[in-house]
Order: sequence, then structure tokens, then C-alpha cells
Amino acid sequence: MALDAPAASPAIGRRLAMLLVASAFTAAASYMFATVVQADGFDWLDVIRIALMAVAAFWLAWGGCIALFGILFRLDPPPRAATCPEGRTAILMPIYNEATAPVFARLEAIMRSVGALAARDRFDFFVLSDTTRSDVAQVELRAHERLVAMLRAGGHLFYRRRQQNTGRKAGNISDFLQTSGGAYDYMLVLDADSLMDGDTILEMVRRMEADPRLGLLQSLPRIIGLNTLFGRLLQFATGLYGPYFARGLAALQGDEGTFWGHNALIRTQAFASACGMAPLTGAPPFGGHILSHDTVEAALLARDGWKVRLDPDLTGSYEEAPANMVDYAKRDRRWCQGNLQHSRILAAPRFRFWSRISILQGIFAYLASPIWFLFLAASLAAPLVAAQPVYFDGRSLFPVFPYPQTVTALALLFGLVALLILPKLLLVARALAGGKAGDFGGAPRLVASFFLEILLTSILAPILMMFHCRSVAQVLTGADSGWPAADRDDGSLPFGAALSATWWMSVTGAAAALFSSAHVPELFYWLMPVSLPLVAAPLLVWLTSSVKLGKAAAKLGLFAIPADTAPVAIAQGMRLALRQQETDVLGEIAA
Amino acid sequence: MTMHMSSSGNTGLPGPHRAGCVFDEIRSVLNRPDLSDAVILETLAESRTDQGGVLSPRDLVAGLGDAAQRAGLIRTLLVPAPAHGLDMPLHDLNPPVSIRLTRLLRRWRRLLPAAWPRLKRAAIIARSR
Repeated sequence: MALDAPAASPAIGRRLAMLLVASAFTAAASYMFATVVQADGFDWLDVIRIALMAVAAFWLAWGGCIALFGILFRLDPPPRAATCPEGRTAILMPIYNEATAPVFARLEAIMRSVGALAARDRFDFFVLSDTTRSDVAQVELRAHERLVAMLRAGGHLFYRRRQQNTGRKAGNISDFLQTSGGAYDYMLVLDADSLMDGDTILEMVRRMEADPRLGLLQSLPRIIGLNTLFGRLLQFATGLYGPYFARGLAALQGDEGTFWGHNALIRTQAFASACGMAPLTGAPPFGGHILSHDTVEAALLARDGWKVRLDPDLTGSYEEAPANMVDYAKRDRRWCQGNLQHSRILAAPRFRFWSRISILQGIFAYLASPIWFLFLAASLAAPLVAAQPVYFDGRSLFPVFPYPQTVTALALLFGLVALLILPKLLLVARALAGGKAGDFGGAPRLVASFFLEILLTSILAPILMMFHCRSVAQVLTGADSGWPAADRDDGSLPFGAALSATWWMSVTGAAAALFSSAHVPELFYWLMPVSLPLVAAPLLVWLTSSVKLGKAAAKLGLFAIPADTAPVAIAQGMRLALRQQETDVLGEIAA
Repeated sequence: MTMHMSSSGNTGLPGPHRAGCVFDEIRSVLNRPDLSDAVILETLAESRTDQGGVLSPRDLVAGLGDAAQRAGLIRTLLVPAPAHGLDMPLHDLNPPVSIRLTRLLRRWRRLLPAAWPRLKRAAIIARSR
């Protein structure tokens, strides 16, 4: 069911502008770096370093431009149907060996929120279980029966379990479409940790009904419910910067947007006809079922002429996230494999240009770390292979000393740092000027949180870089990540777990420091911002996973988010439902 | 392969001939005209009687209770999801080079005839001159 080609998008001009800005910055950074490295002579390693720097600088500039565009461009209000929705919507919650109680508590909260709408009869709920453990499946089944009986949701809430989880989440959704999809005009795909307000869901349906070409509408999920220090840091960063990054992204993507796999409304007919994906030939990690299916599904919808849109103004969409760095890395490992697998479909027939760019961006999100790592390694090795300076070149009787490029080197360093910090600084200034500081704990706390966030993310960046490098190496060497269930308790880690996950980073960091001290002493201090966090990685990972530190930060009003001051109703509903479940279980045991 | 799970526990309900218009009532309350009598009967047979309400599925079939009580019970029934599947054709996103080139080749062949006749004609005119 392909549509006619859509009209030219206004995003094209913005894309060109962004390409120009990013390319100009890359050219300037590369030129400055080339000037610095050839001060002591020019060799083949310098060419590699300049190339690596150029790629990394382009990636940084690209990210910085997205944030800048988020500040510059205000999106037009999207059309919406004013009437009660006519179409029926299936709200899907795919699950896989998850902790059952929180999943059903979230579902109950969403159902109650939707139940308060006048159009509640237009919505049905599906728990699509891919659970492989029979004990968990039994609990899911009981929880489903309990919820149907409690909310009198017979005919509106369904539970289905696949015996084989072929195709994982994409296969799960595909199975729903092939069994019940025809009964619904739209489907709202959630994740096991998703929460959405009924009003937001209704608004999404209205926007979908107002635009018959709209195939997928992605909301901007906000991260809530994390109590560890790392979790609060993540919440703060996504809460403060996320909306602007999303706005910049939406301004660039136009109608060829992306799909993040959850908290999105999809036109079922369009999805069914466009998004069936044949497994790739060969064995995993590059063959088999497509793992990161969401980006590809967005590309497939756009390929058939459907609009895929991100509306960052859709509030009332929430998710949880990994509460510590190890869980974060575990999730990244899975995504990395999926994104690198996309290299095989980058040249898929009839994909739209921007869809290919989005796929490339996804691949690059994980390749950027190995590029930085190689750049650091090459920089450590460069002085060893550099030619001896020539003081008498035969053109003068007097010695010619190498021209020091300290100013250029410092300018480049500050330029790169500015690229990382400036967009964030602008967003903080905007929040302060726009009177939104109160949402983040007030002006002084917002500024303090901003500086702390910059400090902590800078310290943690080398650790994340190493996690990414390992993921890429594992994928390239053919190690399949499998599909581990996400661990979503309070998120804290024992020191042993942090140590076993990161000891190799300490070894690498110590080796790099020792090497530079012995062979390249002039780089020893320059390397410290990377080598020190690596040496201390187990401690840092353990400390940032601390709930105590997270709560202490909350007490001080640091890393505050709007949900701290104005509690999210749907999240409160979920907590209430969870407590009620516990009471019921205790009652059953007592009986 | 999927399976719709539901609780077991046969309540020994009467057959459809005694169920009368209960089936229609259930279809109406749940707004599910697609539910067949057999499916409803199976649902009633499998439904638990200890839902905490005043009525049991047997009472429902027997016509006991007022409309609100009956609707309340009906809304606790674990009916199956609508069986209305969509076709989902699989798209090959990494076709072999030969297939990728087929499209180009076809285009090239379509373009060729446009150039061929003119060349031929030009040659004939040149010859007659």
C-alpha cells in the first residue's frame, strides 16, 4: 500500500544548512589539527590522526548543530482532529521475562488513565508476552486475570503468549498484526517500562486522524523513576536538554523521522504492508533477524510514502532507563549489534535519502568511540615515530627551530570543548531566562546541577567510550549478544559487580598512563582526563550506581527534574497499583 | 505460533440451546459482534466463578441478576482477542547484486529503444545521400 511521493519537505534547507555548518567546523578543526601535528614534521601517522580527528569532529559538530537547531527552530503546531476519534486503537505492551508486578502496575495505570476518557471504548489493550520462563508466564497469566476482573476489562484487555519468540520484539508485533491487527486502525506500541497518559494517547490519535498520510507518530518519552546518582544524572540531562535535541531532530527529519521502538502511535495497515522484514542472509551478528528494527521500520514506512513524525511537544510520555552504567552498557551492547547490523541494509532499495542518513547516524553512534580510541592510541604512538627535527635545512646558515603551535592547539581544544558544552550552556541560559529554572530546582541549583553534570559526564565519558569499543569489537568478531532481560530493580550495584564489569578498563588506563610516562612523558598530563577515570572505573561505576548518593543529591535539590516538584499522575497511579498488588498477594498468602 | 491463555475450571454450563439470548447480550455488552456462540460458550465454561461478584457464569446463563450485575460479570469474562489478521509481506532489504542490477538493466533497456531508431534512420539518410 504505497502512497504517492510527498511534496518537497521544508527540512531540506535545514539539512543543507546543518551540513554546511558541520562541514565548515570539521574543515576548520582538521586544518588546525594538521597545523599542530606537522609542527614537528609530517609522517603517515599524522595523516591517520588528521582523518580520525576530522571524522570525530564532524560527529561532534553534527550533535551540536542538532541542539542549536532545536533552539533556533520552533515547529508549527501539527493538525489535530477536534472530534472524538473514529478509529480503534490497540495499545500493545510487548514483554519478555520482565518483573511481572511493575509491568502490570504500569498497564493498570495507563488503563485507568484511558478509562477516564470519553472515548475509552475506542481503545483495547494487549499484553504480548514473549516470556520463555514458564514460572514467569504463570504469574503473568494470573496478573492478567486479576486486572481483567478488577477493572472489568473483559473484551478490552487481552493476554497472548508466543511459544517461540521468533523475530523478538518485531516478530511479536508482527504476530499481533497477523492475528488481530485488522480489527484496529492504529496501534500504540509501548515498552515494558513505558508509561503514557490517557490524554496524550488521545491527542496522538487525534493528530493521526487529522493527517491521513501520517504513518507513525513518535512522542518524546521522558525518563522518570530513577533513584541512583547515574539515574538522576540521566533524568536531569534528558529532562533539560532532551526536548531541544528532539526539536532540532524533528526540524531536520521533517516527515522522514525516526521510530524509537516504543511510545509511538502507528497506522496498522501502513505498518503491516510496509514493515515486514525478511531476515538477512547469514548468521548473527550481521545476519538473521534485524535486531534494531525500529529505525528500519521508520525507513520502510517513509519508503512507501508515509509520514514518520516526531512531535516533541507531546508530553505525558514516560519511560524508565538503566539506573547504572553496567545496565546502560548492557543495553548499549544490544543496540550496538543492531545498529552495526544496519550496515547491510544501508543500501536497501528505494530507501529515502534521510532514512539512510538516520541509519548511518545510528551506526556512527557506536563507531565514534572506537574512532576516538584509535585517535588517542595514534596520538600516543605519534611522538615515537616522529622524525627528528631538522635545524639546518641548508637554506640558511642559522638553525631553524620548529614553530610552536601551542596557541593553535589550545584553540582547537577549546573549540572542541565548546562544541560539547556550548549547546548545553545555551539551553541552561534559555531555561533561566524563560523562567523555567523552577522546574529544575531553582536558578542556583540548576546552575550547580549543570556544572556537576558537565563534570560527571566528562569523567564518565572514557568509561562509556571503552564500553562502546568493547561492544563494537565483540560484534565485529562475531559474538552474538543474545537478548538478555533488562534488570530493573532499584539499580544499585555491589562493588564486586562493578569491578568484574570494568577491571579491564583499569588495566587499560594504567597501561596507557605507564606507557606515556615511560615513552611519551610530554603527553602524560594530557592523557590524565582519560587514564584516571579508566583506572578508577570500578569505583566510579559503583559510586554512580548508589541510591544513597542519588537520594542525597535529590535532598540537595541537585539534578532536579519537573517530576520532582510536580509528581507525574500516571507514575503515582503506577505506584499505587503496585502497592495494591502487593497487598493482594499478601492477602492471598494470609488466606 | 501463538496461544491465547485463559484460566481453566469447567463450571459445567448448559449447552447453547439453554443459553438463549445470553450470547447476544454478551456480544452487545462487550461490543464484540465477532464472537461466535461456540467461543462464548467456551469462555463461559472456562471462566472462574470466584470473581467476587454476586453472580456466577451459571447464574448469567440462567438469566439471574439485574442488568448492571449481569454487565459487570460479562465484563470480567476473558474473551479472546479479535481474530482479524492483516497480511504482512516480507521485504528483502539486502537483495543479491543480481536482483539490484535487474532494475537498472530494465531501465537501461527501456532507454535504449529511444536512441536506436534515430541512429538507424540517420544511417539510412546518410546512405541515400
